[in-house]
Amino acid sequence: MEHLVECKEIVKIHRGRGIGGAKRGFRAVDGISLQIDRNESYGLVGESGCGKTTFARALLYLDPPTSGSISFDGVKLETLGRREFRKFRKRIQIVFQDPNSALNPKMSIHASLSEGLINRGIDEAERVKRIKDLLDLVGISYAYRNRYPHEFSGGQKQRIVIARALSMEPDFLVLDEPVSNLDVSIQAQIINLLSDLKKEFSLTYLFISHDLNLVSYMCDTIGVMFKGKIVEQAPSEALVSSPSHPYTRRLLSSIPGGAQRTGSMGFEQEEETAEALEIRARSRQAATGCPYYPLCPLGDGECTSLAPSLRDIAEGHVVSCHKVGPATGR
Amino acid sequence: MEATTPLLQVENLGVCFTHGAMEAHALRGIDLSFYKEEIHGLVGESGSGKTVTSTCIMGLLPSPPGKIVSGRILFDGKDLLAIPETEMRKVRGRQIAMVFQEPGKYLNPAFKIGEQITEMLILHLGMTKAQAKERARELLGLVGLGKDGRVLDSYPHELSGGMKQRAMIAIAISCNPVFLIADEPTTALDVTLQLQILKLIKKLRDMLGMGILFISHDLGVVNEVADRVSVIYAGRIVESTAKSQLFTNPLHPYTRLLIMSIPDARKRGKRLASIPGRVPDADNTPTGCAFHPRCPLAVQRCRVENPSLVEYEIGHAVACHRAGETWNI
Repeated sequence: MEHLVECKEIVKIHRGRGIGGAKRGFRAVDGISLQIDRNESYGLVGESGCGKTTFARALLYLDPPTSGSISFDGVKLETLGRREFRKFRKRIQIVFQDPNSALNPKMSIHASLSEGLINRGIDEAERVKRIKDLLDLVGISYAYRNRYPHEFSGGQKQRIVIARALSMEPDFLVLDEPVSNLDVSIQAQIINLLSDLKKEFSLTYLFISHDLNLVSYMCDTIGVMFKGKIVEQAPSEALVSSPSHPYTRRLLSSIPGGAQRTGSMGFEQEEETAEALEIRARSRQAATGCPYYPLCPLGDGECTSLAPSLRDIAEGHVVSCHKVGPATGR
Repeated sequence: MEATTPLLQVENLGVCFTHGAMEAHALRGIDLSFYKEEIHGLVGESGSGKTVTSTCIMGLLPSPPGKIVSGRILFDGKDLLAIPETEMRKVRGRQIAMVFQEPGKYLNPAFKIGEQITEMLILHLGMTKAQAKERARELLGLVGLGKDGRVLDSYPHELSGGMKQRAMIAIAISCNPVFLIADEPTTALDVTLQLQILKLIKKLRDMLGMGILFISHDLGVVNEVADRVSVIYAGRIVESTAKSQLFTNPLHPYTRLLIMSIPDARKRGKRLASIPGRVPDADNTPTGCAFHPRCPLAVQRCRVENPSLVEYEIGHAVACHRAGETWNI
């Protein structure tokens, strides 16, 4: 199987400026390894602050990772010089969460869309044609090309941002919560658009979201992130039907509207109250052990002393937990 | 439920915002009834008038630019829109309380949580400082912030988002209100916290017997907490019924499309149903039924005649000329 993107042990440490900050640092991304195949959608889920966006930015070298290696289409990105890297960058594009801040308010959308094309050295006549096609593709009338971002609604702005990302003709698109700022009735439009574009241009997606429902709809493989680590990764059917890691189970059972919405009827709801969890969080300090231990209903002595690492429990299903047996899903 | 008199009733409420010559009709005559011990979910997209409804009930509509052009809000034998501000102050916070979307924004960063709770108790219930502090401690225990009173002496910035929202809820329920408005209380929170807060709201409803207006844009969240759901679109209620009815037998095409457009694992590989176009602006609402430009069932009648909210089945009201009709998606 050919991997388009392959990450090995990506670590991103944010160094503070306070006393001792430069020494200790905060490991926002703590050793993530993953492979994304060509034409695959990889979904990354986790709660806010778990390092999803930091990972995406590290992957794109917007904030280069502290350590680890990224290969894209067989080329190791960290070995490239500035000039060579620019060639690669156009093949990797990102769509940010908030379309309001992703577009320059002082540039008409024609200007915003031209920028990348100018950088690629495309002449004006060709640019106009491309922009027309791009706007057509994402369902924005070409007549609006001279308008400014504030004249568009959130959903339209997100379409423009997607058009801009596509203007570079990328192979790989990172979608960082692309619909979470949009209205419910608009979300479905954008999701359908993304599915169509994926087919049309044989794109590969890294889809970042906190919404497990959405990710399980969109993606082929799902990785669940907790505190900078991937704790479980599986094909999306397997992850939803037989979640193994207690954190994944908790995320699934937290989806409002009940488990029936995910089609995962077969596992029990989280019974523990918030207070019980908080008391345990305070009494157990996870220094060396499993990062999920303070919140975990299954944890015992083994989990405090040794951090678990990812291991296979089924075909393509990896989980990082001492308490989960193979195959049975528990 | 139907037989009892409503705790709070909104009748034909119309709100208009003016800006120069521009008029935006944010609410165009809505009717809502809230009952004791019932969580009434109000679902709608941004700009549909959810928050305007709640600010009207609280008497907090900024005026100008906002203006109530029609309707009544009946509560406890009074019309809240007609009583003077001095009278309203006794109701607001004491009998009708509100939980806001962003807890960080509505807690005063300069005061300890304890002070912000006791302020309510001293003002509305005339407690002494010591009594109020004792009660505040109880309240924090009730919302799951620990009985040891550690949080009493904390400032808002020392608490996490979920804890702040719990503190907000403690303030809101401090005077035993009979009616609580929760305006997107979980939107700013993570999924696991969201469920905890929703469970807390349900628990408090059971314990205190409040009527609750729960505003959200997320059908999933409403499905989780509400007993009755009203769907609002462009300043009008388009459908109102018991929760189980709404999700199994939606009659309005808008509701139907909304429910079908939620992605989940079972829809993998299939196209999501989507609603074309976008929510109309309040200053430029389409004629007739406001949904007609986006509606797959729209006929000539929908373009000219605004359907009124009528009971289509028992306990299931809908505002649509073609209610209950289906189509191929």
